[in-house]
Formats: sequence, C-alpha cells, structure tokens
Amino acid sequence: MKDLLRKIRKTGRVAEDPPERPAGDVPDALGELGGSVQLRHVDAGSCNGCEVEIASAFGPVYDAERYGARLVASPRHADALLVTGPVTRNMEVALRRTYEAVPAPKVVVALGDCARDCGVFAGAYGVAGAVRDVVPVDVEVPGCPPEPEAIVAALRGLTGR
Amino acid sequence: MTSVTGAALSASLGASLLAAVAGAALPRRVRPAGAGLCTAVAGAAAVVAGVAAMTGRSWSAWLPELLPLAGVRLAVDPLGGLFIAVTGAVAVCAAVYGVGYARPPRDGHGHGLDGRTVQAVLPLFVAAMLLVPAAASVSTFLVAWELMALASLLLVVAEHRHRASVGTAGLWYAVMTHLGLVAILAGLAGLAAAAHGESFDRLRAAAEGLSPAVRGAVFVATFAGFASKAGIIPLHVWLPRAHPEAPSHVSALMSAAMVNLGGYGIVRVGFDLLGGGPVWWWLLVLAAGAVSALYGILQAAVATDLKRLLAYSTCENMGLVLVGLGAGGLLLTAGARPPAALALTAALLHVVNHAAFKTLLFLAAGSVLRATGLRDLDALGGLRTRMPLTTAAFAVGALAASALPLGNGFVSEWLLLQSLIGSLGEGGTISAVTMPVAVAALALSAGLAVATFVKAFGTGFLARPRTPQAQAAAESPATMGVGMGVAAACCLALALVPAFTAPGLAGAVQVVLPGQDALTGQVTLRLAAASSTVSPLLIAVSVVGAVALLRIAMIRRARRRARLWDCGMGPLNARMEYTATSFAEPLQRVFDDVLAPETDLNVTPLAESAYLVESVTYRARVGDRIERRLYRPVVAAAAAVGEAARRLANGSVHRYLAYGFGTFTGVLILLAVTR
Amino acid sequence: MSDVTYVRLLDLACGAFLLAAVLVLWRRDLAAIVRLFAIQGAALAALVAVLGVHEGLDGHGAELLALGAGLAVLRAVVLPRLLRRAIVGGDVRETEPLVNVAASLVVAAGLALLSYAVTRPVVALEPSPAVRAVPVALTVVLIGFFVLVTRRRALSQVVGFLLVDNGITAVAFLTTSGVPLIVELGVSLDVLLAVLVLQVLTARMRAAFGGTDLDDLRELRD
Repeated sequence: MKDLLRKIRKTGRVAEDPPERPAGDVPDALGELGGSVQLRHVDAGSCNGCEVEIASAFGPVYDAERYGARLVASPRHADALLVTGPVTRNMEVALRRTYEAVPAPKVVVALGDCARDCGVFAGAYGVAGAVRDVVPVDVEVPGCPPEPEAIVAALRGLTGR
Repeated sequence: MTSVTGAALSASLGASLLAAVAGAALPRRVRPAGAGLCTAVAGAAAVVAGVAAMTGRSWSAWLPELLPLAGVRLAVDPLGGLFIAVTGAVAVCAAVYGVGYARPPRDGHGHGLDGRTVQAVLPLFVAAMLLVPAAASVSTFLVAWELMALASLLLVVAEHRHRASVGTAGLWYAVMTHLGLVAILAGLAGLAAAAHGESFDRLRAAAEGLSPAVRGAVFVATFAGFASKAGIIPLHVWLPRAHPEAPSHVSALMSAAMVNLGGYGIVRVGFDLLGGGPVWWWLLVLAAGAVSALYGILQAAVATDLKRLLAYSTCENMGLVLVGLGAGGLLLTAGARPPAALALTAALLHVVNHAAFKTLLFLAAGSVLRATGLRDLDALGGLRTRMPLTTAAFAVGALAASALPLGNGFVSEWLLLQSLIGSLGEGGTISAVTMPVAVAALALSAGLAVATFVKAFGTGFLARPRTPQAQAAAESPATMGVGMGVAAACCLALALVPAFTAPGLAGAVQVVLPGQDALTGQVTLRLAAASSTVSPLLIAVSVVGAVALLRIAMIRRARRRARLWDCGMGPLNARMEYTATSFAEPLQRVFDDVLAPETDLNVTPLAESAYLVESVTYRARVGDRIERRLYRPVVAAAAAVGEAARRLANGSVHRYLAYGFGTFTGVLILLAVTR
Repeated sequence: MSDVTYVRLLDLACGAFLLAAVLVLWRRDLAAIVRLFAIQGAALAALVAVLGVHEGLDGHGAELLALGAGLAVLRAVVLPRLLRRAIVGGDVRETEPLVNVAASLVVAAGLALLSYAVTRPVVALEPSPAVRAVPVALTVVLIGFFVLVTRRRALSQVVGFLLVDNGITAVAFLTTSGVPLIVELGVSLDVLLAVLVLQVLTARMRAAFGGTDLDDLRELRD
C-alpha cells in the first residue's frame, strides 16, 4: 500500500488538459440525462484498431470519464451504443438485439470508417452492411482509426461537458 | 386396567408384525399394498399412543417371559410418547409412499422393491423404533436398539445387486452402528453394575449415590454411541454414505425417525437417569452440536447428490437439537430452570419439525429418483412442469428446512435462538462465553441452510431439464403423492399453528424438568422465560396478504413483452444454466480450508509428442475431510495390525499347537501364582 | 483291602502311569512309544481296579471293576494294535523332535511342579489318597499336550493326544470315583473313532508325501 501511494505521488497527473468544448448541442434524446451517459461498446466485426483507440481514450492520458461518459457491461444499463466495425453476417442479429435491449431514450454512435460505410471491407463476403443498415445511427466518428481526441470530442458532444 | 396408550401401542406392534407376515407371505402383486397398509395402520396407532402418552396417560408393562434372563420392561412416559408419535407419523407417510414406490417404474429403466426381504423387514424396523422409546430397562433398550440397527442394515443393502456402492455403504453403516452399540452397552452396563439393577427406576434411584467418575464415564460412553446414531461430527461418516444408497422411504424413516432416537438417548440418560451433571458434560454436547450444525450444512451446501445433501442436512439439524440440549443442560446446572425448560422445548420441537420436513424432502427426492433414475442435481432440472406435485412438495420441505418464516423450521430455530439469547444474563460465566458462540454458529448454519435449499430446489426442479432422463420424467403414482401430501400437511400445520404441540412438549419436558410450561398460547406463542412472543399464523397471513396486495397493485401497471437479454445470440439452452456445482462454487471457495476439495487432472499426450494432448480428464469432488483425516488412518492401522498378525500363522501345525499349549500353561501358572 | 495296601497299590499304579508318560518323552522308537502307551493303559486299568476294590465289591465297586476291565481292553490292547498297524512300512524311528530329549525331560519335571502347584486347592478340599494323586494325572495331561507340540511324526501326535485323554480319564476317576457308564462309553467310542481316523490319515499322508513328518505340511495359513 505504501509503495502504491509513493508511486501515485511520484507519477503525478498524467491526463492532458481538457481542450475546448466542441460546438453543438446535445442530441435531444439525451437531454434529460444531465451529462452522464452510459455507453455499451459493441464490436460488430471490427479489426480492433478502433478498440485500441477507445481504450486509449478512456485511459489516463485522454480520460474520457471526466466528461461523464462511462463504459458499462450490459445494454440494459446503457444509454448509448458505441458500435465499431462493419456489421458482419454473424453479428447482425446480435447487434439488432442489443439495440432492442437498450432502454429508451437511446442513441447509437458509429465509430470509425468501417462503421460508417464499411471502410476497407466494403463488398467483402462476410459483411452484411454498415451500421446504419442495421440500426439507426445518430452520431458518426470518421477515421481509420479515429484519434482519441476525436472520440473524446464525440463523447463530449453526447454529454455536453 | 385398560389404557389408551397401552392398547394403541400394542395394536401398533401387532399391526407391524402382521405387516411383516404379509410382506413375507403375500404374492408379489399385492405384497407392497398389503404390507404398506398394515404398516400405515401401525404408524397411525403409534401416533395415537404417543399423543395419549404426551397428554399424561403414561403406561407400563412387565413381561418376564418374553426375554430369557431379564424379561421385557416397557414404560411409556410423555418423553417417550413424543418420540413414539413422531416415529408413527413418519411411518404412516413412508408406508403409504412405499406402496407406490415398490412397483417398478413403467418405462423400464428402474427396478421395483417388492422383494420379500424389504417388505417384511420394513414393518419390523418400524416396530423396533417404537420399542426403543418405550423400553424401561437396560436389556430391553439394548435389544430394541440392536433390532433397529439390524433391520435398518438389511434395508440399506436392499439394492446391492444394482449398485456396487451399496455394499460399501452397508459395511460402513454396519461397523459404525455396532461400535455405537458397544459404546452404549459399555455405558449402560457400567451404570447397571454400579446401581445393582437394570430397570430404569432402579438406575434413577441409584444414580445420586454414584461417584462423579462413574457418572462421567457412563455419560461419555453413552453420548458417543447416541451421537453416532444421531449423526454428530465426527461420528457421522455412515450417514452420507448409507442414506443415499437406501431406498427413499427407508432413507426417510432413518433420517426422520431413527436419528431422533440418538437425541432421545441423550435426554433419557443425561437428564433422566443420571439426573443432570457437571458443566463439562453439557459443554461437550453443545460443542458437538454446534460443530455438527456448521460442518453438516457446509457439506450439504457443496453436495451435488440430492440425497447426500439431505443426509448432511440431517447432521445439521441433529446438531441444532444437540445445541438445544446442551444449552438446556448448562442452564439447568447453573440453576436457571425456566430458560433450561425453554431450551429443551425448542430442541424437542425441532425434533418434531425436522422429522416432518425431512420425511417430505426424502420422499420427494425418491420420487425424482424413481422418475428420472438420477440423484445428481447437476443432471436434473425442469421438473416443475413435468412433476408438479413433487415440486410443490419439495418446495414446502425446502422452505421448512431453510428456517424461513412460512416454514416450520422457523418456529423451532427461533425458539432455540430465543432460549440462547434470553439466557445470556443467567447461567454464570461459562454460559456467558458459550451462548454467544452458539448463537453465531446457529446464525451461520441458518444462512448456509437457505443457500443449500435454494440450490437444491432451484437447480433441481426449476429452469429446464439438463439431461434426457430429466426431460422424460413423469409424475409419480398416486400413493406416493398421498404419502408426500400427508407429510406436507403436517409441515404446514406445524408451520402455521405450532401451538397444538405445546401441551405435548410441555409434558415431555416436565418428565425431566418439572416446573411451569415454557410455551403457552394458541395463535401467538408466549415464551415464559424470554418474555417474547411469536405468532407464525399472523406472520403467514401478513406475508400472504402483502404478496396478494403487491400482485393486485402490479396488475394495474402497463406491461410490455420484451426479449430476455441473452447476450444477443440466444436462445439460451439448458446447458447454460446454473448447475448445483456452479451455484455452490463461491461457498466452496470461501470454505476451501475446511472442505479441502480434491481435483484429479489427467492429461494424456499423443504417443508422438509430449507437447500434443490427446485427451484430458478432469474430476473434482468434495469428499468428507473428517473421513479422510480421521478414519482412513484408523482403518489403515487396523489393516497393518492385521497384516502383522498374519505372520503369527506360518503354516506349521506345531506352532499352532504350541500357541495353545503356551496359553494353557500360562493360565495355569497365573492361577497357581495368584491363588 | 486294608488302607495301607490300598494306598500303596494306588501309588504304584499312579507311579507307573506317570513313568510311562515320561518314558514316551525319552524313547524315540515309534514301536517303543506304542508299547509304553499300552503299559500306561494297563496302569490306568489297574488304577481303576484298585479304586473299585477299595469301594467295595457290591454296587459301585463292581461297576468300577467292569470299567477297569473295559479300559484295559480298549487302551491296552485295541488301541495299541491299531497304532502298530500304522507303523507298518516306512519310518520306524521318530526324527529329531523339536525340543531335544534332555530338554523335554526337564520340561516334564517343570510340568509336574506346575500341576502340583495348581491342584493344591483341589487337594486341600478333600485330602483322601485318591485326590492326592490328582496332580499325577494332571501332569500326564500336560505331558501329553507337550508331546503333541514337540513331536514331528503323526503317530507321535496321536500318542500324545491319547495321553491327554488318559490323563483326563484318570483325573475323573481319582476325583469323583468314576463318571457315569454312559459317559465313559461315549468317551471311549470317541477315542476309538479318533484313532481310526488318524490311522487312515497317517496312511494317506505316507502315500501322498512319502513320510509323515508334520513339519513338512505348511499350507494351513492365509
């Protein structure tokens, strides 16, 4: 315990200062949440590049949780879905059921080029379509993969902080 | 002089003999029905006899011709009447159930129990169990005890042709029950020798004048024997082996009627014949009871064999009874009579309650076993839709065994806790130290009991069937249902209006502790010693009422059908359910040091390379650690002594003759020297 | 007969009885052992006859005399003849016994002392000349048992067994002046049958193993 406290003191604060809040209002659906948005991440068939960036965005340097966004384990606990990757044939039903399991009000964030329009995997034999072909999408984050700053900016747009 | 008690007891014994004859003589088709109905009549007569005795109509008889040298001396007082009534009630349920159970299941994957041995010996077992509480001399008691042991042994090994484990279980049971008999024999014979007589009246009168060493030795010897019969740690190892292997109605009789007689023996010898004793006796009883309660329920919580779970639960409940007896003795020695009476009342009420719900649970387990051929909870499931009656019966029994308010175990455990807590002021420093520990043990065992029976009921009966045999289960025949129904009705009556037992219990306790009643009242039970009240009926009414109100309130709200969240790729199949092993796994991890589970992992590599695996076998089981650490060394030592003794016999006839000659001349030399 | 004569004859018979048993321990020749057994049988019969004459020739005494005659026939004539038939062919001499002759004689002396010590309370009960001779009979029993234990040949063992029986009969006659006739008949029949069986067994053993040394038979174990 002593070593842990000493290490915390020596390391100090690693998180970068928060940049300017991006312009734009919070989507109507999330207006009553008061700045706290629980996110359920769904990997609908991605190469995991976006997942690495999401992990980085929630890590100590970019620290997305200080803006009110939080990853949760079950869609029943979630307010928003964070979907990565093109929707493969095997994951189509699962993604749709996950969307139906999220209680209203809910939004869907399509993260990365693959989620927006299948990216480099467009037309592949295992791909059923982009995320908007399966569930309605409210926010899109471009990039392959999107930088953590972009992810954080998109989440700040959801929470309004 | 005609006496209801005497007439009813004689009728009961006569009906048992008739049932035994019927079981031996009738043709196969009507054998189970004939023997079963006669045994049920015997049980009902025994209930009448017991109730009559409890309400004050004691009875005694002296039959000098029946047993050579000693004669048979019988006396039924309220204490004995309680145990006779309990045995009779259990016998009624088990006998009616046995009529249907004895017939082979229709789909052919099972065997019937309509052989002559089982059908003839079961009524004799019941008769022996009725004679033990009625015995009033040492020889009668021991003869009845041994008859009970032999009859139950024959019944336990009834199915030895079908399973190999039955033989081992029978061997363990035979050895331990006879070692217990030797201990009881030593104790009672010592007492009779010191008292120069063998009738219980003579022993009672002479016990005052015996030295503390003799009294202590007698108590320890008889306690060892009776505790072994009651399934108290560490003498319990026969219980979880014998009860699963016996036929289910025999398991019910053994678990709900026979183990009680261990408690009866402790009360009779410790409180009645010896008239109470020093503090260390009752501390021994209390400690043994508390350890049994904890260890028993812990083993039950991690058991996956349904009948083994119920057997360990019997250990736990008998431990609770002994806690009550020990607390009563401690308080009596300290001079606090009303709390002692309350503790004894609680213990005896727990005997009655345990008999009711354990019968029900074992009969329901037997029903499941007959319908599916399985005892393993991991392989059952989904029986609620296929066997609704059995499920309902098991639910009532499980609720009772968990000591939750709508069950009958709640009343007796609550009384026990009240007697322990309420006695904290009186009884001196010893009880001030031990009572809180006992309360803690009781609370822990009650909590584990809830977990155990939720596991047993949930994984065994609810959800979906996990194997084809569970899927193919069908409801049991009507006679089995009637047997379970009678037991369930008794459980419910004891749960809602336990006050009907209060006069009988008061009579029984006053045999050993004359004084005012510990328990009074009709709907609300008032405790004289602890100034508290409990009203199970009102609790039940309010709970049911609250649930009904909630349901009515919830009907008004709009409902929407939604899909169960099943991780998106459902549907869930039966193999994904919680099994009994997974349900109990957190408990097993917490109590890892006590349980010491064994795991076997065998990895078979391919012949070509040790790095490539062909097959892996994994086996995990929770054995009985006390058996491993305590009994196996003893058995190994006995085997080593036997092997060493083999060298005495090397085949030479001269050596054998020399042994005889040497002993003969040695004895003569001894005679010559000592005279 | 006068008391002095009676006592002297009684002691003579008992002495011969005991001497025969001790000489069985000394001789190693099987034929000699059987002859000694016959002599002992005669001594036993003489003992019973003396007791019978002392009792008086009317009633019980006549019974005793008859018994003595029967005993003489059985134990001095019939049994030795049966035993001699078993000696035929093969071993004529006993092999070295498990305890050598000198030590056996010392042990016999010790057994005599032991039987005197053990029967002191019996003698104290009724110090008549007959009862005072009981230790002698008990010594013969113990010597017979000792012969059973230490002699190798089957025939020696039979003789040892018969010595035990002789001794027990002698004890019975000395303490109670005889057992009922029917009991004596029963015992005699048993002894006869035992010897017949053992004779057949000995012959079989010789046929199967070429000798009757019991130490060679060691299969009676686990």
